[in-house]
Amino acid sequence: MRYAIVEFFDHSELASVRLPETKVKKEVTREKFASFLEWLNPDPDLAGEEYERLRFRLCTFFAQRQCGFADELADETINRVILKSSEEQIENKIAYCYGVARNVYRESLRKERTHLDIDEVTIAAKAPEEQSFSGECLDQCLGKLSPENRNLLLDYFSEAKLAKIQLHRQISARLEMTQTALRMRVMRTKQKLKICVQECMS
Amino acid sequence: MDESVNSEKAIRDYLLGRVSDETTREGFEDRLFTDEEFCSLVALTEDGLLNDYVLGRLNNADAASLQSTLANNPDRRLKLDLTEALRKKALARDIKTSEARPSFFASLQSFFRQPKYVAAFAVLLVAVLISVVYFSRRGNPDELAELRLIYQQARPTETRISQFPYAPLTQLRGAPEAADPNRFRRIENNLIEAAEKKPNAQNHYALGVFYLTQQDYAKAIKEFESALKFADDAKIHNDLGSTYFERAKTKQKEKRPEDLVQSLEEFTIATKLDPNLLEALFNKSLALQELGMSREAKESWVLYLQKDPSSRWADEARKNLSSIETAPLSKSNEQVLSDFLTAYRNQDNGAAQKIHDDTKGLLRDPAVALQLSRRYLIAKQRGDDTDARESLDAMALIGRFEQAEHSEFFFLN
Repeated sequence: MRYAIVEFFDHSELASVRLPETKVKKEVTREKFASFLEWLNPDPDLAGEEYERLRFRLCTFFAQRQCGFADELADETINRVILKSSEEQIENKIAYCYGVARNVYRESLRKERTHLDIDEVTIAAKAPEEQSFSGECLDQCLGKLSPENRNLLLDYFSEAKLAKIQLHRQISARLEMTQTALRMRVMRTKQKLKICVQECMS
Repeated sequence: MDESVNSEKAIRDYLLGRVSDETTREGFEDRLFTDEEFCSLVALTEDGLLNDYVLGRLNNADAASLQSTLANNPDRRLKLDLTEALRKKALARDIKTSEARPSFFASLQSFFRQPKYVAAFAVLLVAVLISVVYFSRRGNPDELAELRLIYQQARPTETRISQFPYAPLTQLRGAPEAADPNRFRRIENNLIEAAEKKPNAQNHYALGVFYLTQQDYAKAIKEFESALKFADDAKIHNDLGSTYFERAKTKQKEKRPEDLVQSLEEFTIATKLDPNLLEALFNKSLALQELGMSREAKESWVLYLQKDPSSRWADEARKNLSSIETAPLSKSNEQVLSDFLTAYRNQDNGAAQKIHDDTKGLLRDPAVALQLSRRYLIAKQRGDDTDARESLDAMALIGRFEQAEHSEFFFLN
């Protein structure tokens, strides 16, 4: 499903990754993906952040346009950009991605049909049950966070502490940060956790 | 910057799928892909929505909208699952913590088993008791005492503030001189804190007194009125009256009577509640005098001096009494009217205007306009058209004075 994200966080087995059914899937190689990340940002850590940010933009773009499979269209967009970025110089990367996303969106509209031929319809197998976040992976990934970040997340969602109206104010005061900064920190910690859990589950 | 897409509310609507207008949606998308800060705000807003959903803070409509967006946004679904899992973890941790926590009494028992803790506790208890006694005594009384100390050389108001000792009046123009602004700021902060922590008559009253001394009359009135909601006390009425009286002095002559009447009412209430409250009696005399009610003021000063014949306040009372007795307005009302009519008949507008200026003020009995209107009514009742006509014409003259001097049309209407 998530070729690129899994590839980025797990460089071990490209073959085991479930690639999205896109027309450019077969042409995207591990090397090209690595180049794409470098193209986004030469610093590997920052490239990861840039990549997550781009994917968020694309998923939001497609989802808000009521596309049926926003994440697949996001992947399709990224794959096209990966191929293009290895072939030519692109000045404004994010704006370029936006342009490609608009094309992918228009194509997805053309593919939509109001009537289906009965011969084309196949019944999908039952989707494999997704692993629960409350399971092993979550515990494992929470354990990888710093104690401070782990407690921050658990405090933030704590019932007992929520009963105190001032909880989030207290946390922000304790950490000497504004409430917006606290929200930002919670979001980023959750983002790290999400990536870790996805990697664990794959 | 387009404000319609920039607010968190607008972003929430966008993320909840409530933006159907293509141009607006493109506006969001353009910003999302070109503006890093905006992209961060969108991510933060989405995270906030998911947190609020999981914590049950979203209203039904928003929760339903969010749910409807999950079907075609697996990434958001994943984030929501993670947030819900975190919430469960946090709840589980809370339960474990509360189970692991020993009961209060068990903790207490183990604490007192150790002698050194018992001794420390005893010391702490004594310290707490001392603090309680100290803090219950401090607060407003201390701050008021400090204010009295500050104004022991020169008092800030012409009227008497309750329980302030005698000090000569210094004529201040504008706000009081900030000799030690930090000291005043500290007093104010303490008083505000006390009134906020423990809103009662005493604390609001003390803060009101502070504002009165600082010539912040609006705040003083507010605090005294708050204090009166807790206790109908003579001292509070007295100091509220002082505030109105002092505020009247900051206004133009024509606009003073309203505040002066209000102050007189408060002083009168105070003297009724406590007939021996010298401050209120002194102030009432002042208010009567200022309103030009000479006879009543004279009686009030005499009464005051009977109760307080020898203090330095009494010296001021005597001076005031003396000034009333020697004032030109001690002329009878009839004499004032007669003098005015003589000037009018002689077409001596200068003299007529002076008499009018000296006596004008709707609350003053000698006011020429008031006397002329009475004279007109009596003349009409008697059928004396000549006197009625003359009274009207004389009032018209006063109207012309007012129009010329103050653009005031009241007497001409």
